[in-house]
Amino acid sequence: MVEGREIFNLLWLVPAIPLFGALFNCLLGYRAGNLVVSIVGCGSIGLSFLLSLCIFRVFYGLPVEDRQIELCLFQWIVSGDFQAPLDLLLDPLSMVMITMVSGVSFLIHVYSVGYMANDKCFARYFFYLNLFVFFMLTLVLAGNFLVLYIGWEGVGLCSYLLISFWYERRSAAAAGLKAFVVTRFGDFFFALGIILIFLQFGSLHFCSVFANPGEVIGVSMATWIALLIFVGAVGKSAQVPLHTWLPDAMEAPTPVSALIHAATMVTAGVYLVARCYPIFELSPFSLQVVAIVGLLTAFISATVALVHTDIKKILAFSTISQLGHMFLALGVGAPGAAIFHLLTHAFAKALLFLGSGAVIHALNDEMDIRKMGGLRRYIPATFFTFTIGALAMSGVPGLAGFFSKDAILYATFVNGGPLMWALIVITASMTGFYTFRIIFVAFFGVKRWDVHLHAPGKAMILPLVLLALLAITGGYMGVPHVLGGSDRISEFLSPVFGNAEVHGSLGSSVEGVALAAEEGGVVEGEAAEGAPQGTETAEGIAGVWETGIQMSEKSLEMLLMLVSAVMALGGIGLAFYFYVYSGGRDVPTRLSEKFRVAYSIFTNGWYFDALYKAVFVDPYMKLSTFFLKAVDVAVIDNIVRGVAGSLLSAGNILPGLQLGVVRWYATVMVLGAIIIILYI
Amino acid sequence: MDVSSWPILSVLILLPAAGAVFIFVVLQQNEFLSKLLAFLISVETVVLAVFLFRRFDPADGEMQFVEKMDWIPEFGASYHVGVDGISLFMVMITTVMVTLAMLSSWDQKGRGQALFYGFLLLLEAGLIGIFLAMDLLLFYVFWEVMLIPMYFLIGVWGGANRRYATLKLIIYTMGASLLMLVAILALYFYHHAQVGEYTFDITKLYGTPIPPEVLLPMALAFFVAFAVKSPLFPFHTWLTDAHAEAPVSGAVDITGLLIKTGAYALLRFLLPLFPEFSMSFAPIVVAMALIANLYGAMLAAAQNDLKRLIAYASVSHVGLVILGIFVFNVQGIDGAVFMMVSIALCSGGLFMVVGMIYKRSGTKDISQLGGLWKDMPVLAGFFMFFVVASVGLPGLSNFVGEFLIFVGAFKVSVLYGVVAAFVMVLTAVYLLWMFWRVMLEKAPERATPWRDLSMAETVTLTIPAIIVVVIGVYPKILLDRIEPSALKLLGQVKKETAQMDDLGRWKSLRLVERLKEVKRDKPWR
Repeated sequence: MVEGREIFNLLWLVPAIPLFGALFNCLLGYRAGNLVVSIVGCGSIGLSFLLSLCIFRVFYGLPVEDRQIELCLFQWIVSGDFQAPLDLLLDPLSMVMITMVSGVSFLIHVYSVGYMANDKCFARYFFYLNLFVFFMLTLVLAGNFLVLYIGWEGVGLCSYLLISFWYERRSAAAAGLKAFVVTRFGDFFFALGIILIFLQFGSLHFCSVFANPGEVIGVSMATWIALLIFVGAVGKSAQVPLHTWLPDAMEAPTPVSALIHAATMVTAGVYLVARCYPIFELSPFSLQVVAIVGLLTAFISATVALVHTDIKKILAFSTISQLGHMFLALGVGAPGAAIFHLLTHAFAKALLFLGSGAVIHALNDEMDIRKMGGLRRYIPATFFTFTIGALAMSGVPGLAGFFSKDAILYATFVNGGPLMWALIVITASMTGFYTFRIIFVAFFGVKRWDVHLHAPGKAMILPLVLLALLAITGGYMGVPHVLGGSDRISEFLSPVFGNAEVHGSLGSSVEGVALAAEEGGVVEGEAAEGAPQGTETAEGIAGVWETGIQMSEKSLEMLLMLVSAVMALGGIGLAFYFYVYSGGRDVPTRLSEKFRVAYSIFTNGWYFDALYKAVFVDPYMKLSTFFLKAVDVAVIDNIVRGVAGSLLSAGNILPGLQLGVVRWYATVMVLGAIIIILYI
Repeated sequence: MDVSSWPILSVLILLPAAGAVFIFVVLQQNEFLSKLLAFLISVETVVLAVFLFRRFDPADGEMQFVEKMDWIPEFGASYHVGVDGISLFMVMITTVMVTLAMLSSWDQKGRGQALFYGFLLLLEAGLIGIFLAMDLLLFYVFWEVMLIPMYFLIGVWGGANRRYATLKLIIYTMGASLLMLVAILALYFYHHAQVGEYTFDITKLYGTPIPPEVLLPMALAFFVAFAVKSPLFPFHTWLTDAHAEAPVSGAVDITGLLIKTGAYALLRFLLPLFPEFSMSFAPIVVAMALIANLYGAMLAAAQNDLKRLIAYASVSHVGLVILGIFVFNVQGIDGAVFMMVSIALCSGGLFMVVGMIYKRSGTKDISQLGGLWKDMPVLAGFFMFFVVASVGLPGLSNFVGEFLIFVGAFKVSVLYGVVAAFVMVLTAVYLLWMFWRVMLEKAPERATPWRDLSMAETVTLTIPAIIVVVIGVYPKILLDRIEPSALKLLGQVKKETAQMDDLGRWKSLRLVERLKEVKRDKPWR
């Protein structure tokens, strides 16, 4: 048994075990049968999770200043002064991430055994899934940018493979391609960022780059690097304007959506920005960009989620929105809160996706919530766990999402100003609305389906229950000080983020109030148009601003918390009113007719897809066909043919060359060669 | 064993050549025996190449295993061969690819299969000769000898439009190399005029002072010959036709066309022979390389013929290789050499898969394919693997070459780096879209499902796949040995150009020169 610090030498096994599982399932899975495949598939992730836990135990016992362990495996790419070894870094951030990733992956693997039981390509599925976990763990354990990039591209590949998993569906093939290309577009910028970092720092090693970046680069260079990295993160984490691939990615089997497109891969962008926080901190502008992109994403995708009818797409837009929350947190100087929200969101959203998977499975692949209804009586376990996930997601006090979202809202108020805060609070209430819209439409009301119901088996229920427990308790690792907690998560992460703490400076918020007061009318107008509950929101905010100035920090925090809780509950209440209480009056339809423009903007996802098709996809295909026909064939080839033709006709003038130039030349050359050789 | 007592390099050249002669003269009619002989010889060359690799001193950037003897002393031509870190891997990959070519065309039917294998061996001898020659005349002989088997391999066993394709291939490359021959002779006579010795030995020809007014046409002649062979935009149209009409097994694609002799010759001959030309001409070459890089990728997206598509992909990749060469830093050249090896493997794998698809479907037309995954999951897996490797997934070989070239390009100019790196998006577009159209969705109804890969086919594809993984995960095997030679080459170029600065340069390129200097003075910071 490995004791003490020596366990860190086994760190490489954490990603390696899933890799072995993947190799087994790839090479032998076909012959091995489903049982062996699922034992290897789940077992390898389980082992990896257990190892992470053991490492966590030892790691937690270390004094704070020692909590940074590096493990260099071997030199990878070395060329001149360019050096990229294959090294791993274990610090509080990666510790938290590997534990979450391997744990959630394990549960989803177990769930998949039930979900995919009847699929012909069982082994292939587990091959991809294990490979994904390998790349994801490599990503979070990387000790330098290039190793991180291995994981970064690798998860992208697995995401592509799994989105196109049911390859006979045209939509699945299209969605996979779209996901790969759009994220690759972001990766292009990320790669440039990596090269720029190398050229500036002469190294890609995290520890040396982040040791003291301010001494090596100036503000403008930091801004360039930060923005390049951020575009990469935007692509991978599906932020506006590169978010369009994620809703389509719902073509993947539902457990995949839970694992890759909710809990792990899409959060890699958040992880990346958090990892590079020392560089972002150098450039206030880049942090502002991060905050604004996050905020807009959170808001825009929440509006789309309000009106969608496909259960998985609602959850997908919700994921985008929650990722926006995380980026907002990063942008307003609260990376700890971002990671905290990443964790709680992973539990809650994985739970919601797996729950929706159980629903879809039960109803024979039905995804339209309008064709569900009344399910709570038929699949009660799914209903209860789903509701817990929804409560946690909406930020209802006491559950996981509440604490992390509250940390973000507080940081936004303090560092981002009341305007940002107002928008994110409105978004928070929309979160409550759309999550509970699913519940009230799908699980309540009358039965609107007519199929033989497949109740989920034990392999599916067990992960749901465990995730539900996590969704309830996960928040208690970060109970804020005002509520008598000790905020252990941000304390644990503090060595990574250094001085990046939320400074409760009331001054900035006072300034913000003046600004916001001018724009208050605008906000109110927008809110009323954007969401029916807007008026109520705007009033609430106005109240907070007035009183906020005079209050001490502590009571301010309490008040903000109260407001966000009220807003979340308000959203839920509204959903209840719309879909249950109002009964036959059909409020949603009437509203959608009244606000037709907004409704069509929302249902069409703010027209991003149509725009990209018109601006990028179609012109590119036209241009490449044009180049082929007009340049390659018509110009270059014709010139060549002209030159060749004139040569040939010149050749024909000479007597004795009627054989054609080529044969003549070849003969002469061979003869010449023979003569030369004979000459020796 | 004492190296000097055993001329391993000559054996590497002569063994396949002798095999080819033996097949042509003795075994003409016996298909099976010639196949077997050819295969055994190709395996033997792989063993020899591995042996060479093991005896090679990684720390030494100079030529090793040098053999030198008089050939035509009256002309100053000698049989002079040697190997350094750059040519070592070109030789190794050649031997591997020829073996794979034999395997992939094993069950090819049709007339004169014995001769087919003879020509493959001859091609191998020519290729290895090109990579080992240290004497310009010897190099030229190999350069042209290689064309003979190419002509017959495509002209006899090729596709429907093969006459057109071979004609184009021969006229293009021969036209260009005739220019080169003139330039070689000019260099030869200038050397004599300056030094008083008639010689074709490149080690002696390095640094020959050449009057500026003839330097440009001479260097251009070399450049065009190599650029056509590489091929560099806009000299690439012969390549796509040659690939499209080459025998469908992919044997010729992966040997004659994918092994990048042109790019190698740029490194070995153009750079050290005409350093000042190379340096001052670099912006133009880089522009062509960048255009090739993006243009090839764009045209690949518009292709409906699988082999043409991969041919354009290789035009795009060659653009990167040449970019790497002409940024004149160690990452660029390391990356370029690595990339040449990697292209052969990754694109070679794709060509072989296409050959296997053709064997079953009888078509390379993408619009007639689709949904192949269902019947042939193993083939689909290999196809995916080579697609992903070509896209540049880190951990596989292409990434290493690509990334080093990006770094090298970025070091010289932000513009170069950004434009070059953008190809990673376009590559993903055309390759994954191709994969979709060929492999995914529902297959049209077929009477009998196509059978998946046979054991032999699986082995054929597994070999390059394993190499791609190994050198992608542990590229140091190559980089350690390439780097000393790359540094030596760079030292040579930089030293020569430093001298030439004092002599002044030809007028036509002054402007470019000055522009470049302005850029170099302001590194990106």
